Amino acid sequence: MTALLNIQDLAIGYNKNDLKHALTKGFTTSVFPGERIAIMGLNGCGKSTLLRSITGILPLLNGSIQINDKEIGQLTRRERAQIMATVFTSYNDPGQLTVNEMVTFGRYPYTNRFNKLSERDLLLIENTLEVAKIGHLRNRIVGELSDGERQKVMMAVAIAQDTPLLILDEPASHLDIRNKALMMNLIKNLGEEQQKTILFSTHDVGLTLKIASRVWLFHNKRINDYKIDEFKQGEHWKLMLEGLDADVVF
Amino acid sequence: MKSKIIFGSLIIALAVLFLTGLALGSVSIPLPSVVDYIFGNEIAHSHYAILNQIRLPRNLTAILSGAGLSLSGLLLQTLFRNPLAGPSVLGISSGSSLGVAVVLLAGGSMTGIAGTGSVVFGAIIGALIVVLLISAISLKFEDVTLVLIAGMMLGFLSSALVSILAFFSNSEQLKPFVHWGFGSFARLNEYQIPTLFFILVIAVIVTLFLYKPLNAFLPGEQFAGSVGINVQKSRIIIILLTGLLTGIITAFVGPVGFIGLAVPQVVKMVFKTNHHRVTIPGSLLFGAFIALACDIISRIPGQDYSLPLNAVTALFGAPVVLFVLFKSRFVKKVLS
Repeated sequence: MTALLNIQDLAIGYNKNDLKHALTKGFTTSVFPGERIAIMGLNGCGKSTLLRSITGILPLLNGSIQINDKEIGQLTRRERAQIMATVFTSYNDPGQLTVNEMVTFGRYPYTNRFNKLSERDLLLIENTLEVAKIGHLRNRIVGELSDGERQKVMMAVAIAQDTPLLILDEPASHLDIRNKALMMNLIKNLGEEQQKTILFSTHDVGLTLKIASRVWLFHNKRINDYKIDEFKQGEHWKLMLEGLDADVVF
Repeated sequence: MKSKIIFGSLIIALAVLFLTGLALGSVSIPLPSVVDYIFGNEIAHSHYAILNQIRLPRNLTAILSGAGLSLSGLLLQTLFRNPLAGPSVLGISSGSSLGVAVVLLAGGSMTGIAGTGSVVFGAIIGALIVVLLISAISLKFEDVTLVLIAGMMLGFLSSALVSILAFFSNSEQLKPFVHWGFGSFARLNEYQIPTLFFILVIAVIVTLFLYKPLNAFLPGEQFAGSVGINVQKSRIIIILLTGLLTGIITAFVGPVGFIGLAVPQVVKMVFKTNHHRVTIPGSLLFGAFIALACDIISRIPGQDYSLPLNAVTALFGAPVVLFVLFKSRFVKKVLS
């Protein structure tokens, strides 16, 4: 199987030309179709920075990230949006737009200037509304939804984009127990059945154990790369509790 | 379906208002004569002269300017994700005023073809300078709110320079400038109206090509980027387009306030959507309608004098803006 994502000697951070203060450096790995990678670590360790670097929003300090053997920086916005879909936690009220109109944005990377939708586009939008279980909300105004409903809508936009790679920043952070279960099933199915690659950041160890196939754990400015079984058995997540009493948490 | 009915009634209302605008003024002309005039039938010579040389051009100017200013306002409100954005808020109108002030107060005249040409030139240059500064700032800084505030400050700077220029000029020079500043749809000649029409058509075409970026900007620029929109490029095109459109309209009719700010808000409120499939045609139509209505009111039918246009648009616009703001989620969010 060929890798979807090749990361070489990656260094990330916010200060250009300042390798000394990089959040992490020297990270090299390959990611394959169907993998579901949980990115974990303490606040400020660089989870979001890593996601932003992979999406091409943030310039790399060093190294390279290639998707399908193409450097991300070389892709046009449209090409990039056909390869990866992103859902970030920061969110702006879009005002009076319906859920249906919002999910339609997911087809923007494929449609012409006037957004003429093909049969296939319409079918995909329809499927997405069903898969994300938001069909009953389709004519509701996005700005008037609850946090959880809104998060499902943003996820639906990414699914409608129908990309081989999905990047999710804390996908279950606002969700109640029912919607969280729904989201976990969704992510797992996208990976297992549709062979989509999913990178998601999370603080939720339970979520990681349930749906991830692999974990990138930030620790002491390094990214430790674990298969999910290693991660389970070694209780590596306890690295994040260094110097604290684990019993306090549980 | 419902929006189709609103669009239909709006077009009919605009046609009725257009006829009313031809009929009413210091001399009122009976409606049958107006209808005869429209269909090219013979009417009284004095009426023909008034309709052909005064009221028809004035009506057309009001419609074109209102549509153009509202379109500008809509684009700016989408770009800045802020219901308070508009050509006058961003300092573009003030930039035009400064350009016109420099031309008029440096001894240029409002009359004659050379005079009009230099006023137009001044207004466009003034608007473009502000717009280019705003573009430069928006390239440097990501945050649109910051760009909005920078635009307001540029507006204050231009206004300050205008008052200094005004202070050092004599009343002879000042009078045409003050008059221009009141705003009026009445003084355009047979070359300026086609120019205005041409610019508006170009602006509408460019806006249609911005259809996807505009919609994708509604949930924010980061979102637009994630669905494949070239954010930086779209942003610059929107800013340049609104600058040119506002600059030219302002040169011709003066710094008419509130239309660009209030009309898009009325449209979003009436149609209950922010989607540009509706708000682009909605703003054009409502803008034309409201500008024409304001102009007819400013004529005070039956009287020999007329009110400053800017006073009438403010009387309409300020309450609308207040009403919309108090109703909107924007305020709920700021106050909560």
